[in-house]
Amino acid sequence: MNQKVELLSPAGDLERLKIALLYGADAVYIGGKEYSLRANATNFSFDEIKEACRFAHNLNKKVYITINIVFHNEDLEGVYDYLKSVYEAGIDAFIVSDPFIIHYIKDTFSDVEVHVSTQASTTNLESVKYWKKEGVDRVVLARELSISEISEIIQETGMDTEVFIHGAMCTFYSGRCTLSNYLTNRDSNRGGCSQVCRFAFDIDSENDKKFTMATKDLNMADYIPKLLDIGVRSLKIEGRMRSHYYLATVISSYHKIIEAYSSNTLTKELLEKQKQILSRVANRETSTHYFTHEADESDQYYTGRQEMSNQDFLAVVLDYDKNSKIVTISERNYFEPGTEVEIFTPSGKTVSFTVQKIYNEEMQEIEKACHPEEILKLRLDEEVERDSMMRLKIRKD
Amino acid sequence: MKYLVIPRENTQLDEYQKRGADAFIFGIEKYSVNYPEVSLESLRQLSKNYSIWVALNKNIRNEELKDLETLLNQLSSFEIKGILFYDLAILHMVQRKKLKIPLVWHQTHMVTNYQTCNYYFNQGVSYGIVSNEITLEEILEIKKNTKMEMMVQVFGYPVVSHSRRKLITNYFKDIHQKKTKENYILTEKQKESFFIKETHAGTTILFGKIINGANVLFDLLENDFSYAILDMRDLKEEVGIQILELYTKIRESFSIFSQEKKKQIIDQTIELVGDYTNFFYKKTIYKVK
Repeated sequence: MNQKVELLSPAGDLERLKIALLYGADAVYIGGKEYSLRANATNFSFDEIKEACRFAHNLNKKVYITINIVFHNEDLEGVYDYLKSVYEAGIDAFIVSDPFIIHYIKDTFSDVEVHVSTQASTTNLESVKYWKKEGVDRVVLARELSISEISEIIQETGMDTEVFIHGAMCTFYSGRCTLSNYLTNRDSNRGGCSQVCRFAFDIDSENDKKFTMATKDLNMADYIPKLLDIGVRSLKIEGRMRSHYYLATVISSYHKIIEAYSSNTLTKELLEKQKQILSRVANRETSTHYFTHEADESDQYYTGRQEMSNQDFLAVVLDYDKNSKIVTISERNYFEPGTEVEIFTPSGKTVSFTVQKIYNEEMQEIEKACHPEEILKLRLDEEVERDSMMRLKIRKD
Repeated sequence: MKYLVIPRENTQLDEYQKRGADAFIFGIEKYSVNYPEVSLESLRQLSKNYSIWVALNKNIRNEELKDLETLLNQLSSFEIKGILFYDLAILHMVQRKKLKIPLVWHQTHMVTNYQTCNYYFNQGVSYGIVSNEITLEEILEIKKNTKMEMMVQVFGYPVVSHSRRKLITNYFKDIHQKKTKENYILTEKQKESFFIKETHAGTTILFGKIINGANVLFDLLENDFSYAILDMRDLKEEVGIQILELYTKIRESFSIFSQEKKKQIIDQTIELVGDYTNFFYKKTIYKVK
């Protein structure tokens, strides 16, 4: 492990970008208003990209922008002006899948990186050498690779590599699926994917079980040390449309695992605790998929999906008054006096306590917290930072 | 314009050739996705007697690279017309070894604009197969703006998706039943059907309607396209032959057809295989308002 590994987070908007960076991401990837594979996310205006870069750079962190659609002719008009504007907003790298823009970026902007998106499905070291020859700075490897294949690619090419470690998986090779086009007329390779792979189908066999091909999510918490040892440069979290709480939780957990391993303080207890936290925030079962084995039936939902709606997330901290020891929060899910909770902070601290009394904004005591986004107050002896998150206490069981 | 036919078996070539097929596309054992696969030796023999294009369109793994390099060396000594590639490993090997094999850019759903065609043309790739998900208007615009010779699938079931996962095997394992065939039909809420097939390379899904591009042929011919692709694999041979005969008539006489004659011949193809024109006249969307 020679270089510090990068923890790379998605961010669907400016607020989530700030949360991701505050909770331990070293870089974030975002989509602008055009040319991004999450066409239906909020995405960033030029002014927001500028603000994102300013915020990240002040923390000595980075912002990457996705220009990862597969272009049609009609998308070509204005693309160079767009790239220039995004560059001028201060981004650190372009994540691209269509190669015609690589040379333009490298020839026009000297101080910005080009990363090849996972959409290009780069599955072997010879293709990585191709991208290297083309001046690409980093390759986001296909999600179909094993750890040993990734290791071989890094050793043989010396290329800066990025791998997904957490989040939703595609059933098909990235870029090699147009189910969405055929069933819903939405272009998957231009950001319109309607996730048809999660639909249920009838199959012409003699049983009455629906055919589904949906995959479980990816969770590589157990293998972070291994990925660091083989020299992966960037560990990527999937999910530009995920919530603030999800991002804070996932980033915080992986940040803790990476930091602990890097400082030789990673214990089984710490790892288990973080895995437990990650499993609570997930709404699907998880697997390590191709990283550790040839994907099989255990990696899919064939007999019905078990997606859970997570109610752990209780509130966001808005303020803490040291004198009165009152924490002001914005409520997200139901809780009441007697609920055992914990507040985890951007700086990595976790404060556990039992809710005693709940007050409204006028400091009148109320029976329960049951109105999302209501401003409430609690007494708390220990100081917590703004943007900390309050959740149900996670127990060892 | 030449007709490139994808046959089911190599025994069908003479029949297709008699009806107007100019060349055939085959895959090679272990390196192809959704093409009829033959051994290297069979391919050598076929290439002596027919115009043959070879599809090496699977996603390549590290462990296959050594054999792939040997294979490319061997193919460079065959009389094949060119190699259809998906994985850039093939492009890089051909460049690195300076092999004299014409290349066809065949990244199934990604051949969608002329700038990227020009990019690959400048990398030494002479041909490209346009994606099935773009409109005829887009195809014509690509043709106007690139020196790359474009190929268009005008007939057959369109490929929709490809996965490394063994989706059929996994499904039957999970329900503790035996897979009784290699191909199944999936239907979504009785609306649309798909064929799902499993091979050594994983699972491929095809749409359940046959593209009938008889009407499109007129535009391609008028605009000097060099190649049209007809995929005959999943059809009864007699239907394939009749379609080829009709398409050949169009090729031979399109410039002198009256509107009535044009309609008549298109109607004949529709009677055989229906009037599904895929995305030739239907644009996809990607932003949902």
